[in-house]
Amino acid sequence: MTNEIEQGLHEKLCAFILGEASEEVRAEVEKALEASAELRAERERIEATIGLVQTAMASGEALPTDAASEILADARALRRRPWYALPSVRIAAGVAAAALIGIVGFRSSRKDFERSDPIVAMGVPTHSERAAAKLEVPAAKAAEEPQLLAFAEKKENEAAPPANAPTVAGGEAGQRMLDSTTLDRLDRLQQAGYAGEKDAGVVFQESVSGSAIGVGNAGPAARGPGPATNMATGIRGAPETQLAAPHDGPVDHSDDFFLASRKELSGLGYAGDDHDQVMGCDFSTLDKLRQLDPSDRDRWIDDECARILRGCQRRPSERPRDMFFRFYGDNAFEFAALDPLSTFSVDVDTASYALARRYLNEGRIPEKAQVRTEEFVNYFKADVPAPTQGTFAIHTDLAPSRFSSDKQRSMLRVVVRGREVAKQERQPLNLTFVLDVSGSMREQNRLEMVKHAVRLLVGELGSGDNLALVAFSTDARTVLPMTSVKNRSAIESALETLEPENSTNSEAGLKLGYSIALANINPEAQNRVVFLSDGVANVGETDPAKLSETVKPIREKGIYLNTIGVGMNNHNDVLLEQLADKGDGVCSYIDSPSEAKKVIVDGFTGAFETIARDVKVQVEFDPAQVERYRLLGYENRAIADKDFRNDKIDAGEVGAGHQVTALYEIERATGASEKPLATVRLRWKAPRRVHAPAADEQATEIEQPVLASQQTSFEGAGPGYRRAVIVAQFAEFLRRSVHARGDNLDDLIAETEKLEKETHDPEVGELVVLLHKSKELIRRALPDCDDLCRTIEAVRRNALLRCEHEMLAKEIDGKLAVDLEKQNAEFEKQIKELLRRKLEERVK
Amino acid sequence: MTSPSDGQLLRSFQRGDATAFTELVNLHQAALLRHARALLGPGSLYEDVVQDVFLKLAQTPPELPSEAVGDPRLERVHLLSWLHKVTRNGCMDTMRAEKRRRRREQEVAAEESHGGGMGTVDERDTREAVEREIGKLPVEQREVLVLRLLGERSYKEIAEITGRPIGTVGWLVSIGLKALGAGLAPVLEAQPVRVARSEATAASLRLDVIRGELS
Repeated sequence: MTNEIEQGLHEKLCAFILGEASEEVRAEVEKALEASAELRAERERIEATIGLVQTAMASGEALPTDAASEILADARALRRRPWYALPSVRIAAGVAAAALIGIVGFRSSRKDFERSDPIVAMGVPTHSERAAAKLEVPAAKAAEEPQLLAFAEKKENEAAPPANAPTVAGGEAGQRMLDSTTLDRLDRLQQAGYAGEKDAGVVFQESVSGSAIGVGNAGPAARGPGPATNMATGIRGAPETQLAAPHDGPVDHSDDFFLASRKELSGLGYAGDDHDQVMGCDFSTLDKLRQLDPSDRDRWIDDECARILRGCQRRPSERPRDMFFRFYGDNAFEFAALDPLSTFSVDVDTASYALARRYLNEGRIPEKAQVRTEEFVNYFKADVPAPTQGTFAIHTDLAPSRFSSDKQRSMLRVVVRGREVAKQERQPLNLTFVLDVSGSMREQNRLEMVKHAVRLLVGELGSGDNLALVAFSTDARTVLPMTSVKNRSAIESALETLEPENSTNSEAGLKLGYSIALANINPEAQNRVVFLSDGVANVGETDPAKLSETVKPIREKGIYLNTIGVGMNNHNDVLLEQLADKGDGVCSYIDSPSEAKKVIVDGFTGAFETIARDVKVQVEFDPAQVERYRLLGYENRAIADKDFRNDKIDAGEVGAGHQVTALYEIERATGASEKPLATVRLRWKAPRRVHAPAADEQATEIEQPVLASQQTSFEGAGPGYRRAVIVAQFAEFLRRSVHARGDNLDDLIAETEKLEKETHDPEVGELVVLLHKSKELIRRALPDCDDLCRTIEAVRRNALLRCEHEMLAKEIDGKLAVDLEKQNAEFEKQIKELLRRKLEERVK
Repeated sequence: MTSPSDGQLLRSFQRGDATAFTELVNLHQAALLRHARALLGPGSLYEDVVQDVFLKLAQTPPELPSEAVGDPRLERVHLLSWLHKVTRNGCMDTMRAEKRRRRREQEVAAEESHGGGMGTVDERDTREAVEREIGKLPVEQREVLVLRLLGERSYKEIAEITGRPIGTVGWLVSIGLKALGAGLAPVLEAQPVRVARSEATAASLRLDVIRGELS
C-alpha cells in the first residue's frame, strides 16, 4: 500500500505533518491530499503512529537520584590540584618564599577557585559529614569574607525557635517561610564553607504557575493510554492578584523539583493561570526588543504570531475533547450519540475545598489545578440516607440547570452513598504515624497542628488499638515502636520531643513507616500508615509519581495509607493526593483545630474503615433523549469506558458513611422515550484484607435508571441538590472555567443566601461569608478580554470546529476547509496587527 | 515570573550553586538518555555515557553564543545541541571501544524482540510493542526518530547534532515512520474505534452546525 506513494512525496508528507515543511511544500502536500484518498489514509496512519509512539514512551528515563551530586563530586576531585602545588613551582620558590607564596597563592587562587571553579565550593559532603559538621565559620575566613559572616549570623537567628505566633497574613510569614526553606537547601552549601549570594542564597525567579492535570489513573478524557499521565505541579496561589513581584528577592525554592514537569506542560500547550501565557503572548523578552530596528521587530511579530497559531493547531490524532481540554483545562460537552458512556473513578478526598477556603481567607486565589469541583461538592455533609442493606445506595436528582446561560439545560446529580459503620463495630486499628518534622514545618505552627491532630486521633482510639510513631526530616527515625494505645503517657512524651529541623526526606519517612507497619501487621486489624506533612519533599526521591509508586506494592500486602496535609504556602497537595490515591487511602487537609476535628473526629470511620475498593461509576446516556452532556469535575479521575469492567484498574476507595456526588449538565434532545434518560452503574470490590483470599478480588455491580419524568423544578429539588449545584458553580468560578464565563457571581450569592435562610446549615452559612469575602478576589482573577484575546479565542474556536469536522466527516469538505483557511488568514492578519500595537505600546 | 532559563542555571552553577546543576540534570537527562539508548541499545552503557556528558558539563560548561543569551528558547536550543552532540560523540566512542560487547547485547535484544506475538493489547503491551519496533529499526533511523518524536528537536537541530544534511534527516524520518507504521499496524488497529451507531446522523447534524457557525 504505502509503496505506491512516491518516496519524495512521502518525505514531504512527513515534513508537513511534523510542521517542518516550507510554505510551498505545504501547499503542494495540501493539494495532493485533496486529490488522493490514498495519501489521506497514509497521513492518518503516520499521525496515529506518531501519537502512539509519543504516548507509549511518555514516561521518562532517569539517572539514579544522587547521580547529580556524585557527578559534581567527581568533577571536583578531578580538578583539585591547584596550580601552585606543581612540584616545579614549589622547588623554585624555596622554603621562605614558599611560605609567602603559599599564603598569597592560596588566598588568590582560593578566590579564583570560587569564582571560576564552582566545583570546589560544591563539594557535597556525605551524610555523615553533614551530620558531624555544623556551621563553624573560622574567624579568619569570616574576616576575609564578610558575606559568610552575615550569612552565618542569619542562620543563627533562624535556628532560634520563634515565638508561637498566630497565623500571620501571607506576606510576612510567606517571606520567612521562603527564607527558611532556602536555608534548608543551603545547609549543604554553607557546610562546604561557601556563603552563597548576598541575602539568603541563590536567587531564582519565581516559576510561572501552570495548570496541570493531576494523576489519577489516566489523563484527561482518556480512551486509551492518556497523554502525559505522570504530571504534577506544585500548588501556590498567586501572591497578589496583580502581576508578579520584581524578581530580585529570594524566592521559594521548594517547588523546583516540579519545575521540569511544569515546563513539559507549557511545552505541550496547556492553558496556565498566567494571563499572558493563557493568551499565548510572550512579552518577557520585550525589553531586549527596544533596541531592535523595525525589521527585527517584524520578525518578532511573525514569530509570536506563528507560535500562537501553532498552539491552536490540532496535534496528531487529537480528538476534539482533548483539544478542548488542552485549550481550557475543563471538560467539554460530549455528544451522547458519539460517546454515550461516561466513566470515572470515585474521589472522596476533600482537601481541595479546605485548602481553597484557606487561600481565600488569606486574600489569595487558588490555582486552577488545585480547585477540584468534585472535592468541593463532596466536602459537605451527606444529605442522602445511608443504605440499610448492602454497601451502597444510588440516588439521582434532575432539575433545570440553575446557573447556566442556556436556559434549556438540565443538571443531573448522581449520589453514591456508602453504608455507615458504628464506632463500636469498627475493626481494631494498627496505625503507624509518619510525621514530617522538617524545617518547613516550623512555619505557621504546622508541627503543632500535626501534634494536635495526632492527639485528637489518639483520643478516638481504644484499648484494642496500637500505634507507632516515625519522625522524618533529612532522614527518618522511630520515635515510638508499635505500642498499645493504653500507654498514653508514652505516646504523649514521644510527641512532645518532636521539634522542627532540617530538610524533608519524605521517601525515608514513608519507607520507615511502612517497614514498621509491615513488621507489626495484624490480619485481624486495619493496618494503616498515616502520613502528616506539608507535602514538600526536597531530599531523596522527590518526584510525586515515583514516590507513589513506592507505596503501591505495599498496599498489596494489606497496608493502607492516609495522608493529611498541613500548612499553606509550601503545601503541595498533589503529592499527598497521589500518595493517598496509590495507597488506597484518604487525603485531607487541616488548617485549624475545627477542621482537625471535622476530619479526624467526625470523619473517623470514613477515614479508617474502608467499605469498598476500586469503586468506579459509569453513566450511560440515551442519545435519543440527551444531545450533549458535560461532567463537572473528575478531570483527573477519568477511566476509559472499556475499562469499567476491568477489575485490574486501580480506582478510588470509599470509607464508611461517605457520600460521593457527580454532576452532569445535560442538553436534552427532542426525542421522548419510555426508556431511562440515563443509567447509572456502580462497580466495586470488597475491602482488601491481609493475606487476602482470591474472592476479595470479585467485583459487585449495581445500577439505577434515571427517568425523564423525575425532573422537578430547581426550587422543588431537595436542599442537598441545590447545595451541590451552588457549590459546583462556586468551584467553576474559582477555576475560571470556560463554562462559567458570563455567569453572574451576585446571582450565585443570592441563591446561597436563600438556601442558608431555609436550612440554617452552618456550612452553608460559612459558604455565604466566604463568597462575600472573596467576591472581589474572584472578579479580579477572571481574565479580561482584550482584542487580542478575543481573536485568539476565535482562532481556537475555528480549530475546534475543524477538529470535529475532521473527526466526523469521511472526506474533508473542500469548501469548508477553504472557508476555515480564509478565516484563519484573516485572523492571522489581525493577530499580527494587534501584536504590533501591543509591542509599540510597551516599547514606548 | 518565569522559571530560570538554561542560561541562568548555567550562570548560577558557575557562581557555585549546586542545585542549579541538579536542576539542569533533571531537566535534560531524559532526552539524553533516550538519545544514548537509541544509539547504544538497552543495557548499562548508555547511562554511563550520559553521566559522562553531565560530568563534562560540570567541568567545562559551554559558552552560549551572545545572540542566545537572554532568550530562554535559544539558550535551550544551544545547550541541548551541545548536550546531544557530546552524547552522540560519547556513544560513538563507546561503540568503537565496545564493539564486540555491543554486538552481543544487540543479539540478545534482537532475540527478545522477536519473542512472543502481539496477543491482547493493553497499556503495558503497547509500550513493549512500541519499544520492540523501535528497537528493530536500523540505528540511523532510530536515532533520528527518537530525537524528533521524543526529544522534539527540529530537523535543523537534528541535522546539526548528527552531522547529516537536512535532506537525509527527512528521508530517515520518512523511512522510519513507514517501518514503524507497518510494524505497529496490529497495535494501531486495536485502538478504540468510534461508536458507529447514529454516527452518520450526528455527524451530518454537527457539520450543519459547523457550516452555520462559519457563515
